[in-house]
Amino acid sequence: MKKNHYPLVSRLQIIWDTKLCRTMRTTLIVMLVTISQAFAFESYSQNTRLSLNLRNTSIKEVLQEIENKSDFYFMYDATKVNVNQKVDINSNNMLIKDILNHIFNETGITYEINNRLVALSFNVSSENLKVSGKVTDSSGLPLPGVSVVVKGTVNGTTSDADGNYSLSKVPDNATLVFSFVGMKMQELKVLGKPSINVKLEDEAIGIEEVVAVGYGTMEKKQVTSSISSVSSKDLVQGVGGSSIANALQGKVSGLIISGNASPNSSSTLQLRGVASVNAGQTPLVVIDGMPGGDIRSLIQEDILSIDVLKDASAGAIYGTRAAGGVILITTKQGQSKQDGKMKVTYSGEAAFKQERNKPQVLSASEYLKHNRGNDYGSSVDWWNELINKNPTSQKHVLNVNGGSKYSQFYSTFMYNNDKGIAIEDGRTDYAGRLNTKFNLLDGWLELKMHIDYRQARRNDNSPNFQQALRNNPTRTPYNPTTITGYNVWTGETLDYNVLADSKLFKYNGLDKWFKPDATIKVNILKVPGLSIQQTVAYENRQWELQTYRSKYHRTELENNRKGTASIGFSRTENKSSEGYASYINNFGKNAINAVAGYSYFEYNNEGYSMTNYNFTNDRVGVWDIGEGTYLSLGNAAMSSDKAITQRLFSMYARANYSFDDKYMITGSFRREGSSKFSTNNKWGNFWAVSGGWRISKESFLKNIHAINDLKLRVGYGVTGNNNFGADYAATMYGSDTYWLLPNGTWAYTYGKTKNINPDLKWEEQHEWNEGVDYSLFNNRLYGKFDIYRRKVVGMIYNVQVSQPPYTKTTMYKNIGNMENKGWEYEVGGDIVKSKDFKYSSSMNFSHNKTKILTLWGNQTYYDYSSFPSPGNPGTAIRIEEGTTVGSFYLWKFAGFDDKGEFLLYDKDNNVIPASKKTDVDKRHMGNFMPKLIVGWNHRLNYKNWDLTVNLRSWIDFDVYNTIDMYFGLPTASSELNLLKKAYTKNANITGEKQLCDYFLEDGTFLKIDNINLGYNLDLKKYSHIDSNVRFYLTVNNVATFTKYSGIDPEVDVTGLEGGIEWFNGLYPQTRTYTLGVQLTF
Amino acid sequence: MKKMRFKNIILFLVVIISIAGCSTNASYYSEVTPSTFFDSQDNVWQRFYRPFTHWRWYISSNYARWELQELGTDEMCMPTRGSDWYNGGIFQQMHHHEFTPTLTDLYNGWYGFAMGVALTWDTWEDLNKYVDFDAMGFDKGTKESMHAQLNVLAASFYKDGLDLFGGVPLYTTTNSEIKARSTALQTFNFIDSLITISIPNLPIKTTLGAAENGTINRAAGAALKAQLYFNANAYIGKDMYSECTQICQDIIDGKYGNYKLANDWTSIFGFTNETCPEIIWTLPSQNVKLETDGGYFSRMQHYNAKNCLGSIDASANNGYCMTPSLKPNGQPYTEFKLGNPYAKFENTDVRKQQYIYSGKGNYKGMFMVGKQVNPIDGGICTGTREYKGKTITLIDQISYFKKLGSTYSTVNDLPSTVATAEENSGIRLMKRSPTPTYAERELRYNPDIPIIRLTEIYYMLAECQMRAGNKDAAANLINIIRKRYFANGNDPNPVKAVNLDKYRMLDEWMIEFIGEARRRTDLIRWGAYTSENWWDHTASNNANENRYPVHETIRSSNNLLEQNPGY
Repeated sequence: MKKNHYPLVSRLQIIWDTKLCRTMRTTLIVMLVTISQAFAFESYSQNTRLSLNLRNTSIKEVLQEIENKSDFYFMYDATKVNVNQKVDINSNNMLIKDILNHIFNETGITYEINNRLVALSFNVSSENLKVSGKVTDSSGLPLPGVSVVVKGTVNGTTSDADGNYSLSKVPDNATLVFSFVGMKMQELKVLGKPSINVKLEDEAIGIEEVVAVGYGTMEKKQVTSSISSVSSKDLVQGVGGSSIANALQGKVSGLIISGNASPNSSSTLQLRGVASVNAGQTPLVVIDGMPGGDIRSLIQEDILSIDVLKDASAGAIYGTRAAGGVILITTKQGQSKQDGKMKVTYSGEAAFKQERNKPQVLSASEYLKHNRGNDYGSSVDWWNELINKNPTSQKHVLNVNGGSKYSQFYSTFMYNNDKGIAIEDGRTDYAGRLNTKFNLLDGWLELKMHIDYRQARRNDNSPNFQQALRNNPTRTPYNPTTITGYNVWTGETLDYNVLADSKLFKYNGLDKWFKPDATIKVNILKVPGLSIQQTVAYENRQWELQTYRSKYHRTELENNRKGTASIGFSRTENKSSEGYASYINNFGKNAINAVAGYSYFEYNNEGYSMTNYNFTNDRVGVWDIGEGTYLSLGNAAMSSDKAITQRLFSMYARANYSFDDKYMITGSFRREGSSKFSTNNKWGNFWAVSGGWRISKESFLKNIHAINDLKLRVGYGVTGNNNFGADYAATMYGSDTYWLLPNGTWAYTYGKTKNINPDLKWEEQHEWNEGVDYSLFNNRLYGKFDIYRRKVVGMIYNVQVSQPPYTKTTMYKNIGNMENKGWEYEVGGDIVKSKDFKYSSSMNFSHNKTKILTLWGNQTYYDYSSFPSPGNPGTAIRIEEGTTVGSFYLWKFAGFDDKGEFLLYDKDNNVIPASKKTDVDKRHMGNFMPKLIVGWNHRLNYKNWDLTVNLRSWIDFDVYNTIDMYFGLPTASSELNLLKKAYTKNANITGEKQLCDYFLEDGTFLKIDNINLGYNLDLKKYSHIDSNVRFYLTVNNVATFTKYSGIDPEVDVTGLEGGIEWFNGLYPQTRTYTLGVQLTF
Repeated sequence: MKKMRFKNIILFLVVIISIAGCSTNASYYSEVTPSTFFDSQDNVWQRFYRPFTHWRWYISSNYARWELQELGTDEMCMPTRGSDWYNGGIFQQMHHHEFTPTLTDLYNGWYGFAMGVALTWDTWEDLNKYVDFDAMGFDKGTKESMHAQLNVLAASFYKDGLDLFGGVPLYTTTNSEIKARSTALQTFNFIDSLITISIPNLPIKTTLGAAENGTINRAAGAALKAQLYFNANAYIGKDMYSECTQICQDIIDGKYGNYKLANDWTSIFGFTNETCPEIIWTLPSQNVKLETDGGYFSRMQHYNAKNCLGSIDASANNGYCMTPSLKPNGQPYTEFKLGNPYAKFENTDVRKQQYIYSGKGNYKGMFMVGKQVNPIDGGICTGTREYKGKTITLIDQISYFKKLGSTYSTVNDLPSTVATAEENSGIRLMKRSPTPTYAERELRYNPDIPIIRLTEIYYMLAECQMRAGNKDAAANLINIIRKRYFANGNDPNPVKAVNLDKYRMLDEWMIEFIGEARRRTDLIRWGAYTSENWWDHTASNNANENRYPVHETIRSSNNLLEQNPGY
């Protein structure tokens, strides 16, 4: 009925198009308005909702469609109102007002609704409008300092202390852009209105956010897997360390990062517990879409976001390398500005380091009092001798970015000089990055390029801190009468001048990463949403090392030799090629996000080294290496090696379908072949299915205003693991040593290099993940909860095997099945949100338990974690069926006998002297996997000040304290120094140390990881340039609260052989103070 | 239209790049596939000798086998010297026979022989599979000879396993499931049969004094078989001395090749010993090629020994020494029948003097003993610990002399144990791999390591004769050897029927073979290993100690392995 009832538009248009009627226009409108208002007892326009889905359609046609679907009718002057403009509209049950706002946005058309009649007019541009208003935040509090700019011009202002602004010379069809740091940018049409008030939303965790997923991005609301995202502002500035790992610490639930405070330390990452027994526990790092990246090559300032794909349903598209999870890192891109202006950011940091919590050993006088050994007459704190006094580090980063609609660029230069708290430990880095993006052929073609270079010159020659524990404290490291100034003595392997050892050895390493890639993306505009892209990436990592040991060095003196020089080089070249087609489109309520493509990866490595000895002097060393006499004597060394080229090829597809943003389903598949496996087992299939239900969109929750978003997710996926050496695919010969041939010449003998296991298969991980994403109370409380259960089928493990039949001691085998179970919970809240003061806090919790389900084949257990000399007390970890990963396998301590000898329990729980122990008396006990890992991050803002505090805690786990075990008993070798504990707590022990739980301690700790205090100053007040400056102070590794008596309870728990604080490889605990300034203009 | 064509070209390019050849095969560079490796006779020999280079590691480069045969005995020890060589007490444990399954030597002791067997069978399987001996122009019988040598090498490894641990798993191929241990008897018979079937195909040494190169000659095979029978009682509880007697006699009679006793003992261990006619099986060694020093220079000599050895560029860590013959008060140990190794050498024995290298491969003396000053160049070995800066005098005592007057008031109060050594305690050997001066350093490592020498055959035969009641014949055989150690053959204490008993026989073995990694076997054969006291060692009378426990890691790699009784 209504379709023919108001066929007004066409008729009116004809009437209105005549000049005659032009003057009648206003009158008619006024009249109609009056009439309709008079008769309207109910506003139709307030309640009617419409759904429309039109693309690239003229306004005229859209209006007709609306007329067809509703009782509305439109009136306009076709000569004034340009209804031939093309618009897109995808409305889903929207109010007419919202639909019209959308279609008329930026068209210059304004409208008036009077019940069913909509009158259109076209604005005549006017430069004279003065617009003013008030800017508030979502809670209604005034926001000062908000930038208000007329879009496309340089005409702008900022809001005053009360949030008020006023801007003149605004065209009445103009758009105003409101922007403020930490808030979502908003654009509003002026539409001739002189007063516009704006409420800015926090940029916080919003469902509109986009997250990176495998091969592409997805709106967060559509994501159906467990993905944790960290944005650049979550990464604390100034925490020090040369890798971003430090800044990532504690930010992602279930992610454990291990490493020490040395500038040259590398970090081990582990997601969701032990992913595999020992083949590849670390997550796959994907930098700007290229898998297999090196996290060490990145600098924090360049990072836009880090998305961690935790469960297999997200990772499966990365196939064989995704078992340990996937970390997607996106670097920043240039921001285009309409005025083409560049944005420059400079940041400078100075860092100061301080040592804390050093082990307490006997002083010289105590050493003598306890009759430990000889008195050489001095009093030395060896630990202090090895500490760099007040090392100062500095870092400078300069970034310029900008661009236009057609080209954007982002470029960074970085210089970093990082000095360690240990002597002879430091590095100097230079890095540069250029990210460019070009839009060509009217949006048909996009070209993207990244060029990334970084180099680190390393002095990684920090002394062996173990010596600081055991060197005789009465012997001085210095002797001013010698040429070097050091007191070098020989012939003592356990007590030597460790200071001179470090100082008389030159270590000059150079790490380089060069990583260019280029992407061509073709947008097939004829098919909206379809594009094809191809990326080619190359990565070149090089390592050069030159070392020289002085002729005055202990080792040289002991060997009657004068100097040792060596030069080594190795190069890794990775090549990747990735191509895929992606299709992203919406049809009404249906949204599709799909990709399909291929991936190729190739790994190459080669290296050489040479060593020569006995030089004329200490001056030339590595730079005249042939001068050493050992070359002509035949004792110089030379070697070269080229690793097996590894190749991976795969094809994959992923599709995400979403209905009404309410029901989502994602599926992915990857078929991948790897050169690491023998022909039979080369190819593997990996797949995942996951679904999501945004329950908050359902009608029964829609009216609960407290719930902004609530999504249930469930996923299942299969990923693989191929992270082990490439030389197990085929039988190869390699050389051993010389032997005398029958013809009287000497030649190397040849034999097999590896135990080949032709049955070796993919290790597969089958993972269930169920989760909830939530955002409540006006998005002020948000987070996620995930629970997972992962079965590792056919764990690949390098195990001890029997000889014979095997010719080598170890072999990679699929040894059995393992299970990980755990949960992760993330919660964040904007607790206080007022004009001057804001406080938000986020916490993450994770719990994981890993169990060995079955072991295959004829080996029913495997022993690991062999304790070293002196004494070689045995192995501390045993894997067998049913054991929990993290348990130790030790003798059970039963006390001491009257003489102070260790007593242990035998297998029948009888107390026996330690000398009678047998291996069947050992048992599983303790657990090094924390029951709960907590990260707790705080952020406070007060006016221009901000404060970030990050805390971390591991709760309920055990640490095996080998420092106490090897240095805390008075029975240790005479002459060597010991911990004070040896003559207090352990003074009465007379027996040799035992591998028992006497040294097992609870490691529960709370750490204040870092505190960052910043002050932001808007320099616009002082300068005509739009600029601001930020000053900050960061204290890193602030304090640790624990009952654990060793140095640091945060031991490596990544992998199977964790939980042990080793006495060898100690590095001082370091607290870092960083002063930084960041200038942006 | 033009634009569209351009776009098509780009699209085409993208697709082309995408489908560019992607392989999933590996490429190899530093390694060779077996199928392409064998392209000359030399390559075949290089593959053949792979188990021999492992044997070299086990026999003389790794310490485990040597320590397992020497450190729990009355001739050698590793005393704790201050902070050195305590190592959690493991060396003291070995001296006191406190064997636990965590001792690292036990790991290498097993791993060494077992990997040897695996490499041997693997080598044979590869040669069989990849090499056509006729097509490559090898002499007739080469393949059979190789097979025989590999069999005997495997037998030799298995004999080490049997000796240290008792019955072990027996494999004849690498294409086998892992196995549990066989009994000692099965192991014994397996070794016996391997050698027996192989001896006829082993090469025979026809030229007296022809250079030895590590090849297993027929006499080496026979000698190994003799060793097996010689110790049969210890291995399987059955005397086979008569079978041993026969083989020894045949070797001496030249039935297995042409060998002769050396007149000068330094020619057995010296710089050109590959041509010593006494050597039946040797481990070849050569400067800058295969450098093997018998495995004990660095763990035995004093830190600064290099300074009185002509400034040779070799470092050492002052560890092993002979067990002492003298108490701290200077009195000889008389309460033990075993031990006292240095005292048991006659004073006129040419070996019983400080080692001195006089140049061009000539040297004298088998010990590092007394004041460590080189009489030729005046080089002094100075102390670094208790006798820092002072000239070291190596003494036949082990005690804390430095603490005399402080902790201990008289020499009679001084303890002498494996835990109480100083840097100058104990006399060291310079027997295998004598050391030249720095000036002649290109001779270093030229001495081969003799593994089986004719003297051993004489001694085995002598002991068999003695056990058979033919003490005169036994004494005779031993005295033939003894003579070469005295000027003009003037042996002041020859073996006689009247003085030849168990202890004299054991003494003779010790004097001749000290430091050659066989003392434990000799003691066990005489039932003395667990029943006799010496120096700091008290007999446990626990026969289980005649076999070592299997290391826990070895059992972890093959869960079928049963532990030996008592551990």
